[in-house]
Amino acid sequence: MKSVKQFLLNSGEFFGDIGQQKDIVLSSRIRLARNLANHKFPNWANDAERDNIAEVAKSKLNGLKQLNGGVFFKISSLKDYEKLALCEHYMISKDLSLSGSWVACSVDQALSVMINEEDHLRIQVLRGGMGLKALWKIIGTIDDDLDGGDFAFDEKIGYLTACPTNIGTGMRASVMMHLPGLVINKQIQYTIDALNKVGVTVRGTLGEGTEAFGNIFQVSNQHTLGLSEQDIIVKIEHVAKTVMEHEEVARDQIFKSSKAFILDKICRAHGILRSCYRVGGAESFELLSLMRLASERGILPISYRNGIDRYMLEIQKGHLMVFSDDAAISEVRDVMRAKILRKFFSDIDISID
Amino acid sequence: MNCKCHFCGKPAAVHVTQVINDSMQNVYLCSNCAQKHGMFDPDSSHLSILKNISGALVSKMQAFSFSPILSCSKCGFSLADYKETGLVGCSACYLEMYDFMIKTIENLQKSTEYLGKVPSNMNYKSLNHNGKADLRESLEEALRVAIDEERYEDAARIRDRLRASFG
Repeated sequence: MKSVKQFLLNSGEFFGDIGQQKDIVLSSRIRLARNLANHKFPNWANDAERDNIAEVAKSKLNGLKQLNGGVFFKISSLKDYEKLALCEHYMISKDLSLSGSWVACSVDQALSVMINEEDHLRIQVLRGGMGLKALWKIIGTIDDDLDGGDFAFDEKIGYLTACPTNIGTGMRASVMMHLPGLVINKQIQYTIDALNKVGVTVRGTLGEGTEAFGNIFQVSNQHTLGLSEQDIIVKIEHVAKTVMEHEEVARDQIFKSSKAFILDKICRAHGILRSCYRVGGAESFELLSLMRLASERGILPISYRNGIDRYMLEIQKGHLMVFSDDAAISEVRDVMRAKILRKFFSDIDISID
Repeated sequence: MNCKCHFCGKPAAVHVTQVINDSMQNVYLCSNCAQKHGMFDPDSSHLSILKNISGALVSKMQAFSFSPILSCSKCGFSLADYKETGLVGCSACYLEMYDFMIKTIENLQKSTEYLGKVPSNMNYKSLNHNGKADLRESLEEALRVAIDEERYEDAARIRDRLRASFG
């Protein structure tokens, strides 16, 4: 496997479901921040030192069985749209795309390891649905396998990281949640504020500093020290279940008390997706969010939900540019996006009593 | 000793150094003033003498005080850099600028107690604490060496860490 295009063509197991609840939780992710002792952190290291760190990190990763057959991408060798596509695919962060060194990804796209992001190593595992406990088992083993006794660790304050917000476990456990009910009911800000008060962060689709396109929010732990990894997982799963219950109540209320309003929104969205000639990225996210909601209310066949999730990734700017040279132009991209969505929805009918 | 007594201006016979929060203060006293302020009282600690000194003299002393430790000796990263970027320079910065970092961590985290996984590789103790298997033992030795070498600022930092970790 050589190119980002070939890598993305293999949609892998990202949509595989190791959890029980995929209605509202689209995916689960755990990432660990690890650093090599006796090396400056990436932000403070010069180019030669960063190259040296990257070589040490790569030699560790070359021996990692979970990456067997995987691919390494050197960030400085990638085109901007390839980096964007990897961001959209949750394989790398925006920070890595701006100043990082390498990323190693497993073929099934369930594991990625970023080199010289904010920390020397950012190890990430990702799966569809709710499944943090299962992911912890996987990433815990990977962490042990990469551990050559040379990680920066202190008995009293744990794994040492470039930013004190990650110190300790170095762990961020997150779930990606689709919350159109709370957004339509205007309860989302109240929910976010309440979660913030209990040490839970809510971010946009692509993490820190990003917008929540398509009513998708990333819910993750704020603290990494003072809790064990299991504590963090239990906390996030508990919070996610509570938010899911609120979301379900909100959906029931909307379909009960504002039935005409919501069905009209869904029908119009379906109409646009079937008939539009061009559509922007943000608008298509909103439309697909309504289709996802409709599939979970029996208005569209549920079997199409995975397709909707897949197109939420593949109609984004970076993906379109990877798959077509013409997509560099915004207008062309909008037409291309509309064509893909028209085709997908052409044989999907709405069922309303 | 060529310095003059801070109280009366006579030639100093006693030199007191006190380190508080990484800031070193030097006070010079003649033998009379030293006696007057309890320096030769067997029940009085040398370090408590500064409590008896008037406010006017405290401000005078501050002119003699050294700046706090502001940078990491391993990587050169400074507190000013941290305040600018929100990131530290290397893993040693946490130990080198321990007081500041632990206060920062207290503000950011649930607590400063690590409750996470024990690394599978047990070489950590030797890597992170200069070959000493026990953190306390390592810090106590570092404190002894710092005092022997009259590095009082370092000694104060290590002492604070010992207190924070072991009471």
